[in-house]
Amino acid sequence: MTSNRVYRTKAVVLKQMPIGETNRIITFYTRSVGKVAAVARGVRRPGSKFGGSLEILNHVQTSISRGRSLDNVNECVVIDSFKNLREDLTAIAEGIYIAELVDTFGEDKSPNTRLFDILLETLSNLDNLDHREFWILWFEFRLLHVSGFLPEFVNCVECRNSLNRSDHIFDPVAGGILCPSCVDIHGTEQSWIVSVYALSLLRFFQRSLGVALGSREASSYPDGLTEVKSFLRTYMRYIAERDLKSTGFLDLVRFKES
Amino acid sequence: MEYSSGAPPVQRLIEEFSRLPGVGPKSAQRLTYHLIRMPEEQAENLASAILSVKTRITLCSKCFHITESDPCNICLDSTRDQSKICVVEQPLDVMALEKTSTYDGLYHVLHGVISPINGIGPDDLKVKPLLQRLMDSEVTEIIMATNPNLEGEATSMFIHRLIEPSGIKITRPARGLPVGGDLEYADEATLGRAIEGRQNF
Ligand SMILES: [Zn+2]
Ligand SMILES: [Zn+2]
Repeated sequence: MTSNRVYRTKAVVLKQMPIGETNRIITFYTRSVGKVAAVARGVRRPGSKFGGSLEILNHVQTSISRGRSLDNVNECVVIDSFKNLREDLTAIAEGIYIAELVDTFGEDKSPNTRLFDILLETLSNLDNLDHREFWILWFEFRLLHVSGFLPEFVNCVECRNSLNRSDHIFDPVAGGILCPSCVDIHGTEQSWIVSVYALSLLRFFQRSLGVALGSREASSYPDGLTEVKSFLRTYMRYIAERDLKSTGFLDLVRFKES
Repeated sequence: MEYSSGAPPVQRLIEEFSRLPGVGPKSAQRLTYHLIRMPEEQAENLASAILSVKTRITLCSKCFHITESDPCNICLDSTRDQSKICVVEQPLDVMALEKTSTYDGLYHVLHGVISPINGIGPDDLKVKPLLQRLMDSEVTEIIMATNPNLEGEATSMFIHRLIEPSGIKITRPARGLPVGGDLEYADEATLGRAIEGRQNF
């Protein structure tokens, strides 16, 4: 039952912070109200009514009541805890990175169901453990799309002329690829070169928005992955105006794994 | 009135209290107004107790538990089993485990947990000193007793990956500890059973 004081929603647990003797502040990304921070009381005591339901990356059904300063978690039941992901250190690091992206790009108390849905779909993909690097890039691309930051990859962002098949200049200030004649006029010092391989994956992503991709697509772009990874990271750092904190650990465990 | 709310010294103390773990803005105000009414002698005792903790308590250079003398009493105790090290997140966990009287090996305090979303990685914890400690010691078993939650598990898995090639046996407390709760709040009996019935990682 939804009233003004209490709301029930599906959510993913993004992060936790201890507060008070035995409480934690839980940051959720909820389907119906966007990002929400709420206090779970007594959760640090073993045997609390919450059990393990508020673990980071859990998909849950929760009920939250509005408080004067902070909201309170009343109830929380696990829908999916992504068990495979939890047993693989690299997958955990990847899941936490996804959670940080949603924490960074998701807006407080402003719902974005498309963002919620791609978050959930990506956690399921990571839980299947295959093609995880591809699924993360696909998530990052759609994250930019659903938050309104997606750059232009098909035509020149300034003159709209179509681009020939070669390496091109990407300019984050202009918000897309610049053709050779527009680079001279509109290019800034923040721009960088994108190879034809990376561009083909980025354009494939752009064409695939609204389409469900499967493992066949995930295994068909071996050439662009590394470059697109650094492309998306650089661009997201430009948008977020800061480094993401969890990339350090992610890169460390991926390196140690290989 | 001398102590109007918002006067700088009062405000400053409220702010200092608010930085402590578990103290919200309300409790910080309550503590501050309690201190204002406190006899001066009592306030001085409190201040000197805080200072002497800071000046007399250090970290053990072997296990990083808090101690007045280095190495700590646990590390110095030769009757303890020198072949086992129990890895925990914080000094409170050592105290909780000591209360169970079921564990007689050594400890290693990490002083935190890997928390990527807060930018805390292995280099911010006492992970490297643990590896160094293992190089020249008779340790044959490492017990990973981080908290049973995602970040605690990730920390254990990371350390496991680093230690595994050495061939040292790595175990973890039995599954008696419920997920989500913190080790420091587990009851003695449960914690004792979990340590006794530990399983291979
Ligand atoms: Zn152009
Ligand atoms: Zn010691």
